[in-house]
Amino acid sequence: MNHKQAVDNIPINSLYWLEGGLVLATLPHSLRIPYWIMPLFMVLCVWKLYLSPQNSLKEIKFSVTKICIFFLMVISVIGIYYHFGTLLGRKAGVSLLVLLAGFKIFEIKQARDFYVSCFLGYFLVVTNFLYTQTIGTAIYMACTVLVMTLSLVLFNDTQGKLSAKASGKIAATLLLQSIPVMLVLFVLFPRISNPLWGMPDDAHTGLTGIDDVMSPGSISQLILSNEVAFRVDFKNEPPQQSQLYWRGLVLLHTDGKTWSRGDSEHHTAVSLQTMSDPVSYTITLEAHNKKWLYALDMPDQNPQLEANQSWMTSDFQLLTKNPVTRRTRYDVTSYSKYRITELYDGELQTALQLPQQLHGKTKALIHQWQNEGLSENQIIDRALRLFNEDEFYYTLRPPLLENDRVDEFLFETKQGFCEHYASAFAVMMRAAGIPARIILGYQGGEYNPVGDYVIVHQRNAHAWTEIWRQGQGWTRIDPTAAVSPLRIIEGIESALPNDILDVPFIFSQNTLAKKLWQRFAYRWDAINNQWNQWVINYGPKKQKEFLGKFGLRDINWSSMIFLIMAFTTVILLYLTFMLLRISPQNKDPVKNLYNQFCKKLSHCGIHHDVYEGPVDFARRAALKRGDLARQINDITDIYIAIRYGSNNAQIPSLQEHVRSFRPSTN
Amino acid sequence: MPETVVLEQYPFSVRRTTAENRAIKKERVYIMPTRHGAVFGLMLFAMAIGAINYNNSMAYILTFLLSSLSLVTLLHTCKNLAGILINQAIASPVFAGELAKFPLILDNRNGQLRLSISFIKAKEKWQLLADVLTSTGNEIPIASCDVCTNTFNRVELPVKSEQRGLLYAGRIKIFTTFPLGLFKAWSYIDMKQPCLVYPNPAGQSTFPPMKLTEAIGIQGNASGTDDFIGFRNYQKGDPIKDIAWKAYAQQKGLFIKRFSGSGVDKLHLSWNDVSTLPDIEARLSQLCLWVIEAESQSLQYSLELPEVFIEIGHGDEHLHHCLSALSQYDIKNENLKK
Repeated sequence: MNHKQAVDNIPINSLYWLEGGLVLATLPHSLRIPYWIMPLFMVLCVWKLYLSPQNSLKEIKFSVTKICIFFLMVISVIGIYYHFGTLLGRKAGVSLLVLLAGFKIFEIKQARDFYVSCFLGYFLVVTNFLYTQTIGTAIYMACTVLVMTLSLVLFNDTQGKLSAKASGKIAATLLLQSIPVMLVLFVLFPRISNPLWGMPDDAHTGLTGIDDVMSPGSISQLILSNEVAFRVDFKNEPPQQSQLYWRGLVLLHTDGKTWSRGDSEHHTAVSLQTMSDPVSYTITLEAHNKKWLYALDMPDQNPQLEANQSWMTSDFQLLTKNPVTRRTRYDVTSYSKYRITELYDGELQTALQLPQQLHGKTKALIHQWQNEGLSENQIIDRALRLFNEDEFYYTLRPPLLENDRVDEFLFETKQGFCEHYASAFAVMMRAAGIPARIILGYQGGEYNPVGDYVIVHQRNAHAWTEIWRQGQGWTRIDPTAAVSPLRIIEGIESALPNDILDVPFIFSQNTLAKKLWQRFAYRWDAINNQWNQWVINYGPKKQKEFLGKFGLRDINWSSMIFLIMAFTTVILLYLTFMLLRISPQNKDPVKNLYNQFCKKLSHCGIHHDVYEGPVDFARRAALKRGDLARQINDITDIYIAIRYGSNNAQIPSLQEHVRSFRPSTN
Repeated sequence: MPETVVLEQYPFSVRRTTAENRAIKKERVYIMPTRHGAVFGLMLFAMAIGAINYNNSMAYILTFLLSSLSLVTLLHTCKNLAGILINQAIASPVFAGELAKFPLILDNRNGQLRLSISFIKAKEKWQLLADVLTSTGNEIPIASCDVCTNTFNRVELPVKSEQRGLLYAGRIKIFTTFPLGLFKAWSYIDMKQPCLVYPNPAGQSTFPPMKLTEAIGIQGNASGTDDFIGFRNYQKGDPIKDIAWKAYAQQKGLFIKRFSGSGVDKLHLSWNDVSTLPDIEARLSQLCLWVIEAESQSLQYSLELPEVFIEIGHGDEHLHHCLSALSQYDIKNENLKK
């Protein structure tokens, strides 16, 4: 019998809000999980609402539904397994969790089910943070948590007195009051830099960034991405736009279609002959799940990393031991003028490798030039002039190349972007016997005047070449600059249409609006940068840095935990006091008024005794002061009506009477 | 005088009685996580592990926010009970087998709105530990109510009465899980005011015939309707129409005009009438039924039990007098021991 009562105890309005919260929590996942899960989840939610008012469905009918649901559940789990090939890992885990929440909602019968669904909702919110941690996500998820908490409040209001608005207010109050302790915990909770155990293999997929091979289309995809690759704080003035070559990888090997890395990483760093002033800067690299870093041409040594190891190779790549799976901050020093003349054995041979069967036309062209008696330098000039003067176009949407990519590009389509120019130029150089290699990285960057830093977006992805010249060593040559000098001098933004740059249509129509938009965008990025630095990136290093400001740089774990307890205790004591104290306004207003009345009478020498009831007191007072008898009796009557008749509507009247009661003190 | 109970305002407050009113008894408010609260804690633990493993700041923030939320909720749950003043009012008598309703007056003159306060019969003291360990938060309360700001609220606790006599509600647990159901705050009220339980009226509704005829012609204290036979002093419960207003007007005092009683049925119910019935309870039930019948038919009736005799009379008070005599027959001593 008790069980039955509990069945009917799920108030429908709290169910509505619970489902609302769960839908909010799962919605951002809908594109990350198999497409059929979200509709199934919604169907289960709506079905439950349809069932709910008529909980008295016949037992038999319900158990048929139960069997159906059970089979549906088994099929769904198989479906997830089929889709991912596993039930482990992040995506499969999230899919299962969404599914579980859906079925849990459907089978809500008792209080316990309600709580479990709600807690599942909270957990789903956390899984969203594995994918994105932007300010927008934070606000959205705060709303979700509020809705979920609201549903709990509604559920616990057993008398059904609260409106959704009132319980929302209660939930908001609870959450706001939770913030101080949360901040204490966030700042002081000891952070560790290494994970407790291995992450699932797919934990960091979906991160954009340059790949370690250059295959057709790999860069053009990035150029359309507005995501930030890294941000750079220069100690002094940032160098000119055209000098901002962010070196990433060196590609040595080509099969005619794809460029890939050589084995240079096994050779230790060679020394750099520097010929200009050093440029010092700090890079905040977004997680890209790859084992390398970026630095301005040319870094002089590998940076120190917080939770990773890095080293520099002989061709000045900065490699790391583990993939960069979280935002990483490091200091580097670079030199804009330099000379690399040291080589390791066989380096030049590797830099001359070409596929034997391919690029026939290109090789023939170079032979023709060589037969004309051109020197190496002249061949280089000739090749660049070819790009510049012949009808080559810089375009992000080049025609498709099918067979010999270099030949087709050079002699037929003549349309392409950095990846085409760099590979074609490198092939030409190698055909002419000049060692050449392709550098993958970023070019340019946007100066943010609000935050005083340079933002490098994924769309700044670029490929250029380095060739070996006698006496000068490895020299950077960017063939794209020959075709589209604007691309290099003003940055990729000038070469991209507005819709890719994320400027809304209404702002792109005139320059002033565009400028305003740009200012707003800078400010927003600066806020995001602060958010990233202080919230998202708050790790062991940042914690140390922050606590150092309070002279707690060398604090150990036990002191941190002690501090947490101390602060939490103080905050909670304060809250306890605020919540439980009886404020004077709060204190029985009726009693207050009556006390005022008694006080006024005591000025006339009539004192109210503790044991004396209001009627007895009134009688005694009226006998003593016949002139006040009417007023005394009126006040006493109203007081009694309110106090013992629960007639609260008369409070204002009592107030009025007591206020106007002014006994003369004779 | 009924005792006032106040649920303590601050946790661990030292003063058990307040200076202004020594008649107020202070009751401690206890608080423990419910089973759902424990599940919530487990979830938080899982979240924390995830946050540490992925070193995910937002996951940290949510974990800390929800941990902090549970602490704040603890205070709010406690606040929902703290400082409430409770008085017990007198319960109306019921017949055995009916639901006795024990009224409580919740005095919230100093407090904010308190929602979803529930009552349940407390377990025995030796079960208390078990109660703490298994506090589930979803016990089915016998009554629940909201208590509005600055008011008195009356709530009635239904307790099923099993047998005649005095029914004690005993120790009542007052508890709340509002606002989030993660914690349960509770306290105990000793219900000292008993509820009188009349015997269950049962048996045949026709009166013992002998008695009814015997009653005719007997002139008792009560008034008949036929011939005037004199005056007697006024007694509470006498009909107004029989008052000798003329004498009253002459300031001689209140008198009742007496008439010969042939028109009024005077019913003498006694233990002997039910001696044929097998046991005491059946006899009491039968007498109870007759008393109620007599009252509803506006008869004058008296009741005679061993050691108890109730004069002939009529009216609600007389009825109550008779019924309580029946309900407490032979168990008075037992109750005194309680």
